[in-house]
Amino acid sequence: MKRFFSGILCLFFLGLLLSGDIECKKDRQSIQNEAGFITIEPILFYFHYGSYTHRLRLQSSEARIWYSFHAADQDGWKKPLFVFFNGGPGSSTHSGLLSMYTSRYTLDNQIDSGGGDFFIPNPFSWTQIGNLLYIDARQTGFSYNLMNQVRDFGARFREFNAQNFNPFFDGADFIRVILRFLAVHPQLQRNPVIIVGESYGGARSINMLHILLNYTDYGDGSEMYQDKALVDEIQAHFNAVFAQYQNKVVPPEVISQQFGHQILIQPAISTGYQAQFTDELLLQPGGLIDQYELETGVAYDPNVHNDPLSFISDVAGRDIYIHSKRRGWLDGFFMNAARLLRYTNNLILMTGMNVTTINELYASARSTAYRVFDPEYDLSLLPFNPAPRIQSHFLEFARQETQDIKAEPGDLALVFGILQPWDRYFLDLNYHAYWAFHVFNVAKVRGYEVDFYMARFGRMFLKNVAHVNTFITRAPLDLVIYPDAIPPSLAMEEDILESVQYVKQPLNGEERPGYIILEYRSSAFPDIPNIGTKIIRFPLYSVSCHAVSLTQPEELITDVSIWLKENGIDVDQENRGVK
Amino acid sequence: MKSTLKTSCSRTVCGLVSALVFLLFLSSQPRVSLASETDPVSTSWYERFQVEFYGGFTTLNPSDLNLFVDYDNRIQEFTYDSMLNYLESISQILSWNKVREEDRRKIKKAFPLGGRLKYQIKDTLAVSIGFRYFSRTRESEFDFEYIRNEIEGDRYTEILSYFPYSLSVNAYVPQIGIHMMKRIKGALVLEGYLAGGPLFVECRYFSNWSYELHRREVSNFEYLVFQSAGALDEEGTGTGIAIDLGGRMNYPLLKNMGIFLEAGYAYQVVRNVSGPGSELNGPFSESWAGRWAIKQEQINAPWGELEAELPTGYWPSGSSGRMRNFKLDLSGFQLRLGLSFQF
Repeated sequence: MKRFFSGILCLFFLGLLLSGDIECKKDRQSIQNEAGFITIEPILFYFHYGSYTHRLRLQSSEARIWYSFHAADQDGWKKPLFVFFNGGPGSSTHSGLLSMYTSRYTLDNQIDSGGGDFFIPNPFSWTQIGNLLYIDARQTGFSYNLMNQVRDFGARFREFNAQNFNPFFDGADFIRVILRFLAVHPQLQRNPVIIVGESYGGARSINMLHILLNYTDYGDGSEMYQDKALVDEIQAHFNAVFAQYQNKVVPPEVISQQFGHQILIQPAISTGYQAQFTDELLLQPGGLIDQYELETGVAYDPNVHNDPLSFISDVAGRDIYIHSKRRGWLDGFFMNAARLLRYTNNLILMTGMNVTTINELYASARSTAYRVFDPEYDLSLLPFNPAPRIQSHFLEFARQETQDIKAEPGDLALVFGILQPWDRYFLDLNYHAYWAFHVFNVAKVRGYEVDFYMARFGRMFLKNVAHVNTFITRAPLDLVIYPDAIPPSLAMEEDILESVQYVKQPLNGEERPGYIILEYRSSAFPDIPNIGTKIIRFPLYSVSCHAVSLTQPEELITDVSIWLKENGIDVDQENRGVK
Repeated sequence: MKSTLKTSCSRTVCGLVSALVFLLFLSSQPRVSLASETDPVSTSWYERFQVEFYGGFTTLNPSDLNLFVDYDNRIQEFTYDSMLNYLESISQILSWNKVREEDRRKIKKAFPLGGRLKYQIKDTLAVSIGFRYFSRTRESEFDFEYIRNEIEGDRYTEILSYFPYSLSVNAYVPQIGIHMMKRIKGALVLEGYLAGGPLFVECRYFSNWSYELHRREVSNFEYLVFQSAGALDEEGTGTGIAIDLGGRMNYPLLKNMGIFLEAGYAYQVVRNVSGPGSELNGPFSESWAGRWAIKQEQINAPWGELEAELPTGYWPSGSSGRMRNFKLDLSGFQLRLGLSFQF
């Protein structure tokens, strides 16, 4: 009898083991590449300064946010999820980071005309170290919005405003996409999420992490931006991930177990101060302006050349994203990637998925979709603010792309159908969205701090760094995000930081040295006692452009792997073979 | 502060005058009886019942209700004028100006109507049961235009319109009273009265607004950038007490009909106003119900800080920000003219 029961028990446990293994195998196997849209319903949110009756209440439009997911080469279920996004605001991630030496295929950085006519295999794919999720921001890349009255020019124009475009809501969009993606991928739901943002992506990372780490403040009236539905969604995610905090407020030190790493590629952080220090550094005696004055024989005159970046671009003919190259060098890569992605086969190659199965791509599914308010994309209708060089640069870029998007090249229209005149399959830079952040923005007009040039965002970054390990690339040839301007811009926050140390020498024999050491004041943030010292890795990429992954891909993935290991995430970089 | 002091002083004076009139009347009371016994007119005048109807004027200062206006004015001043001054001071804009039509109006007076049935116990003494009603709505429609000139030469115009902006109160006052009379000369009778009873009130704040943001480029190309509309509605009802003290003169016009002029002070206070509220704000709508109280808001913006008080029944997070109870004070000096009929 005893034997019989023992046998039954053994069988039972064997059954359990087998079913567990099957389940486990199923989990491991079910991580596959995918691409598509995540729908974000119209969201009600508001801005306020403490007055109930004078809140600026807004409702976004329904959005279909485009993403592509690339499963890790091996053991994806136990690897972190890298979330990639470019900046602008208004720039696509798919013609940016996806196409520039981070995923399995890439443009060729050896071909100076913009990367060639084909995507090539990438020996430095980040799929070697984790799972990759690329997200196109609202109205950029393949993402598109939906609206009623889509045929009305004025109504379309008014869609490009604060209800769809502001740094807080933009960050909230990305959080929603990540959480919804994780919710339907339970194998990855608890894995570390590592944010990889480029350029304005730095500001986006600031907003995302600040919302995640202080999420209750964004639903109880404490913060200027209030988005109760988002707070509920974050709590639901935390309920699934941190079971011990079921429906309780999860403290930031616990949240950072999942959202505790950010990799910022030439980021906008304290953007206003960064711009100010960049000008000062470029203009200092012996600086780059002196150098280009000598080279061109033209003296820099602020009344004529607006600002140092305009001088270097217009007079010296250099690319402000990598001043060792001719003007427009980097834009060539972005535009070429955009051109290539408008071919179905390239899109299939780059996403690793048969995109013809994605219903929302078809014209028939997007009768109320819009991408631009002006089908002719007549940019002369838009205001032109000549002062900040970067803004006029974006305008220039958009004008160039205009020629392409009036009649989109590629075969997408042949495969997916002909779109309405105000719709587009792919936009590398949505200039209308860019201006909605800067100009057509009722929140900004009404005095809310939604301009990411404001010091508020630098302070939010410093609060995030108290909980989040941070890696920032240092590419001194990039003048748009001039790295030497970052440490002094952080030091402007004297009530938060006691000191900022900019270390350029190796500390542990690193090949690419660089650190920013932040000493926090004990009174920096009342809700975070004794932050003490925080070290930001700030490695040097001496020949890189703004898009560091394009110009020094191997160095970047190597440094990231080492840094992650040093900061608690072993991505198995030693076994990372070049494929 | 000054206006509050002035109001409370005038109330005190009114109260004192009313009390004085009443006391003077009481002190002369015995002589009234004697006179009436020997006066044939008086015996023919004082029938057992009298019905009276009157209308009049009352000063009002429901300061807590009027706080809606103070609050809206202060917030607008802070979020528009102060902000634009700040932006101008840091050279973010070149200049700005404001065009204003009309203004938000407060409740300062009302016109009560009422009636009473008087029972004459004797020639010099009567009791009454009565009812008084008054209603006041201050409604206006107006626009504010804020024009700001940007550094680059563009221009933003913000148009804030109200259609209408209104504040209203209705009061229902059933009372019982005691009246004492004295004939002073011929047919002229001086009367003092003290009446009291419950006070039923309804009050409402309603602001229906729209906002438009226009931009004009240097090229004169002009367009509507943003528009929104909304309404904020707070309705309250409550019960309090009303006490009237005053004096009056009666003069017979016909055998059974007389005219009278009353002056006095009415203490009319309600401390338990509650009711529904609702807000429409662009795409957002919300409704609630609750007891009104005064809330203190702390507004912190880059250009400054403001502490402002507003009455509201909206308490989504308990009593956070609650400063004190709401008091609907409809007290004031009243002057009434009426007709009385006796039978």
